Amino acid sequence: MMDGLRGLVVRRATAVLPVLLGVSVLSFAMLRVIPGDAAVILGGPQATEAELVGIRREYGLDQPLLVQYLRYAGRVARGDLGVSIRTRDPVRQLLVDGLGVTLTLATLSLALAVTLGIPAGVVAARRPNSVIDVLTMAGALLGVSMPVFWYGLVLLFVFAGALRWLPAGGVGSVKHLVLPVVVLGTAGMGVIARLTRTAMLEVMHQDFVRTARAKGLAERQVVLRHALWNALNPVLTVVGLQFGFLLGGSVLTETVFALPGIGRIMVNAVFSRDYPVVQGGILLVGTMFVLINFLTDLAYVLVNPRLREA
Amino acid sequence: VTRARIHLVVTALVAALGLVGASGALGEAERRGGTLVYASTADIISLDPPNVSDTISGAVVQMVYEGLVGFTSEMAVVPRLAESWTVSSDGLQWTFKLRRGVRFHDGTPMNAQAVKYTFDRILGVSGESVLRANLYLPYIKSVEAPDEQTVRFVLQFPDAFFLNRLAGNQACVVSPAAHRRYGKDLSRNPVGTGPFRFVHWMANREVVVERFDGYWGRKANLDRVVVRPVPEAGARVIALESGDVQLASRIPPEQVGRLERNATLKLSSQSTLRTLFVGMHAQKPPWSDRRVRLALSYAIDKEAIARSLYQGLAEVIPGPVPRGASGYAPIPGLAYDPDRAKRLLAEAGYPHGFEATLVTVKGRYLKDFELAQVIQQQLGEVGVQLKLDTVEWARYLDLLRMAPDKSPLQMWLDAWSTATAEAAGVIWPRFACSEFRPKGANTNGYCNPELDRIVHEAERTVNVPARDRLLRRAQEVLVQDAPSIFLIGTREVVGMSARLHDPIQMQNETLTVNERTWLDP
Repeated sequence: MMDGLRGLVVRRATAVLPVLLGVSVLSFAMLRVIPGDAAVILGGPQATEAELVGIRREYGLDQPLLVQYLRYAGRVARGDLGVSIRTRDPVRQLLVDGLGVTLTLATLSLALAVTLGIPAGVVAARRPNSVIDVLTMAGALLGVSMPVFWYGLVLLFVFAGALRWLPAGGVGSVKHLVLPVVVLGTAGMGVIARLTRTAMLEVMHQDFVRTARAKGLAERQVVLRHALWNALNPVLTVVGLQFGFLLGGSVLTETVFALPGIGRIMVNAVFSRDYPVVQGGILLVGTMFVLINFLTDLAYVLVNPRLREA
Repeated sequence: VTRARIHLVVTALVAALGLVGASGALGEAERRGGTLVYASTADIISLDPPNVSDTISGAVVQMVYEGLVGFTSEMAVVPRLAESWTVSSDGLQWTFKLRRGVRFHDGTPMNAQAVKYTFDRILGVSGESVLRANLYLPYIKSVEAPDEQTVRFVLQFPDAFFLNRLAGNQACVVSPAAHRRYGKDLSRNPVGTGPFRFVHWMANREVVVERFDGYWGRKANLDRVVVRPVPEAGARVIALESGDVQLASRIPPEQVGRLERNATLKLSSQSTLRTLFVGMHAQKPPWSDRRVRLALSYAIDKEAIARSLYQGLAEVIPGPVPRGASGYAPIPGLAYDPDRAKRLLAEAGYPHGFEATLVTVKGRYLKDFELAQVIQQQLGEVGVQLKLDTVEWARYLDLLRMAPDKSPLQMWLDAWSTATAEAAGVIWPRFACSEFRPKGANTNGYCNPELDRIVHEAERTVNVPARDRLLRRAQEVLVQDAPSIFLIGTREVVGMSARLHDPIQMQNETLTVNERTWLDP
């Protein structure tokens, strides 16, 4: 078993470097293909050419692309992500701070989604097409489909505006996190509940479940020990993907709740063509994504011993 | 003593008296202390004055720094670090007497050397390049510091709006010691002479300033000011309602009614220097024909736009100059006249109108996309069929910055504001023959040597009535030439707690506070 695991770790780890190199080239190139550059946006509509020349020279944007890339790659290799062209913030610090906020948000909302979503899916799958199934799945559908912007503002309006139980956005305490976690958690819960239900229904009809029942095991044991354990594979995949998605995709929630997360930092940086921040951010999120995929793969192997031989 | 000099001294005196009067009247109820939390639309970008071009950084710059002179909320120029000034009879030398005993937040003295250092840096004497150098480079030849309290500016030509230029954020005096220490990173470690001193700036979270007890004037009422970016307008409104913040910028028009009914809040509206207009490419047919441009201008009902679309948050303007700018002339514009528009189109050879593309942005300026739709509909009524092309901001800037002979633009929705709050700075870069993009800001490719001559002369006329007569003539020429469809100047609404008194809502869209702003317990 240890050999299998070690082999997997080594194979995966060697695949990571080319992926990250590709990510760095792509993030560098993509931004330079789209219109506008950092100087144009910093200068705004009223800037004269002379004003832009100064900015371009200062940040080396007047150099050939290859030179720019090599300089950038050289700095990154030394662990230096540079400073934001827009605000002169050191990029690494900026991203680490943002990632801290987003990671907290993602972890808590995923925890909420899993603790509510998996039981909901199991309950619904136990009695397909019953009232409880229909209600649970309708709730899950609602959770998935509610626009984050609207939902977030409604929660803010009720709990911050009208009741004044919670702060109206920003960071600083646990209370600040409640509403954003609920918003993100609701959507994740919907996805996980629906997927758990489907996976459970599939598994429940398989022979080993029938065997377990025939052995005379209690229904509770059949469902939790045999069926759910086997249904978890696709659910785990989605949990991993959801986590990745939450890392980069919580920008709307971060905007509504004025959270200084990495999603908002990245979107602002893309719109202002703040190259060092976007490149550093993509590299960081790319690395996290690769790591999460890697951990998900490991989790598969732990859940499903048959994969260890592969 | 020249007439101009007398005029300036009188202006300074009146302004100084006005300030004293205002603070005296408010004096009784004012209260010391408290922290103001202010929700802005975005994070700041820089706190290094000559590198500042956005209004949110500008708001904090106004708290931390001061210039020789400054703007009131109505964009009148008043003394700040300068106590008085004179201008030579040829208009080429301006001599400022500095206030005594002023210190920067780092304890170093604010004196003539510090002022010279500030401007030498802007002019590139030290080899550093700053973003907004062009506000000063074409005008200032050199800066001298003959003694500790005296600064003399030698100009390239007699600059009609020199004081306006000195009153902007970019001309604020920075601590030379701080700049030597931090260099470019002065933007993150600002040191000025203002009533508040910088505490910290955490990206996307907050900027904090606190009362500076060594301030030369009366000390600030507020203990602290926290500026917090809340990008979503709905969330800003809720933060105001919940009491989390006591001041919020840019309240959307549709929220105004609800907030007005809330007794714990106050709203305040101010006209801005931002004007919205539709640019037309003056070198391409059919817009190269003046009759077509006039026709399109007559076809737009600006009053209806201000009334219905903007619900009072806009004022119709005749030409490119906003009402609050120095040199604005209240001349009649081109009133709504669709029949005349059709006649002019027919005369120009387009009896059935034509098709064109209007490039616009969405969510950048107040109701920009909705405005483009109204224009599409109104021009449709005189037979001009517009296709709307909504583009992303960076693409939009790229399009605007193209030289007229290469630009694919036909018509575009556009906006303009002025850092110096004066008419010549609005007209010259956008309409002078020498200012075609990308060098200047003339996207239209419009060129009228007669206009150039008038504005050129106005920029060099220090005598205010004579200068304003020339600028009035220039505005008349532009109305009659109609290089753009001049539409409206916008108004901006800010919301605040009923406990907050005397925040500063400036016409240049800067919402800030000063030493007199105060909070009820």
